Amino acid sequence: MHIADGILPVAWCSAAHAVTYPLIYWSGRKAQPDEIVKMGLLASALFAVSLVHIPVAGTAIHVGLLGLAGILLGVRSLVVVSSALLLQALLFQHGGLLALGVNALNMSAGALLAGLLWRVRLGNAAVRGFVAGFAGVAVPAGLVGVEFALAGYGKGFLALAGLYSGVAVLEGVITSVTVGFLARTKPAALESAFMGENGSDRSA
Amino acid sequence: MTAVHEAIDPAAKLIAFLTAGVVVATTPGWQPLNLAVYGAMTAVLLMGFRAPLGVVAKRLLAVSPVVLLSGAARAWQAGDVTAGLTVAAKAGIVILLFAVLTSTTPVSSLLQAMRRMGMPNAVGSVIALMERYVHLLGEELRRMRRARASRTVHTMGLAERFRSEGQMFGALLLRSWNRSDRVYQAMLARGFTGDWPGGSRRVWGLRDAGFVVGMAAGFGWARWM
Repeated sequence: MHIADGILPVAWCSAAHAVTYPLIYWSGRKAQPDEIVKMGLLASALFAVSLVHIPVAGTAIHVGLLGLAGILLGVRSLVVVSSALLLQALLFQHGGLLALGVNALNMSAGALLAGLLWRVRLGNAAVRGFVAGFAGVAVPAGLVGVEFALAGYGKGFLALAGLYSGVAVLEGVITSVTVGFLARTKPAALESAFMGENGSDRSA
Repeated sequence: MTAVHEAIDPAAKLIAFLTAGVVVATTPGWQPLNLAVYGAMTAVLLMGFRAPLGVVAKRLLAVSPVVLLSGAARAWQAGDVTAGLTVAAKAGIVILLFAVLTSTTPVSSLLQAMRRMGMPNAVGSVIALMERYVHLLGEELRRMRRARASRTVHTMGLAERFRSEGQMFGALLLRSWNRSDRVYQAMLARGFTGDWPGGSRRVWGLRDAGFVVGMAAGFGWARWM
């Protein structure tokens, strides 16, 4: 789902950078030093998990856990997702520097919506975890499909995004199980969630 | 022997390569001569910077499916092969440019340059922590998976595998959460204040400014020649 450099119009990439930058500042506003360390460690763990390949039906999938990032990090997930994308662009050339803003907006939209859906509290933790995990993949995939269609690459990419719904279901299942585990062992991790200066329980 | 480019400020390199990337990406329509000149200039940079060819090739290969698919889609949509070739060639050159930059300049130097150029402190700090802990936690996850494999004598079904993986990811997150408190205490003891320094601000010399102007002028000339 990483859009490479040189694919989308530069004007779009510049606009995305212009939107992303203040959003990152907003997302990381008033972050306390202990919070930053926690964000860094969780980002590292999520990054390490995303490198694992799980064999499924003769092929292998790798999870992004954007939904889980949204659940655990709330609005701070924008900082973490952008940081991970920048690191990926520098280390592996996944995504790119010009397209960094677009990629950050796409992926963060999934994480933020997932975090929001988790907090709506419809259903039990397993259901909410599944919905958040599903949204974490489906939203970025849908956005990438729309962007490619609007940029003149045709509606085929929308169909490709539709295919991602299968991956989104699997990611939803993994997120649901992970959330279930955390709910049993450290429920505070699922409730604190870095929601900003008012009423947050950062220390957990 | 150190390469000449190592003496150039990473911030100057970043600005120069970004400028070149933007010039290439904004070139309108199918202009094979301009694209050939961009390609030749990028090849000169590749050689001059002594970029590790294996690393660059690996990175190009990793993104090639996206680039080729995009090119094919554009050609199909426009009913014009050159439209697809334009997309693939421009994207390929921009990606190659950034591959030269990122494979010859340490990531930490680029990040410090970005920090000096105004990258948010939270992003810099999170990336610095990720650089330190991704490998460590990745190794921890590998050990957990190895331990599970050694204890599991039967072949796991899909449901069991997903349950097992999900719980293992949860365990890793939990360990990271708990570890972060200890890491924070250790960092505090070493004087951490929450700020991630970008290094000392460097005054550009003739070499730095010359590189930026040279790159901009070279790629600009290639576009408007």
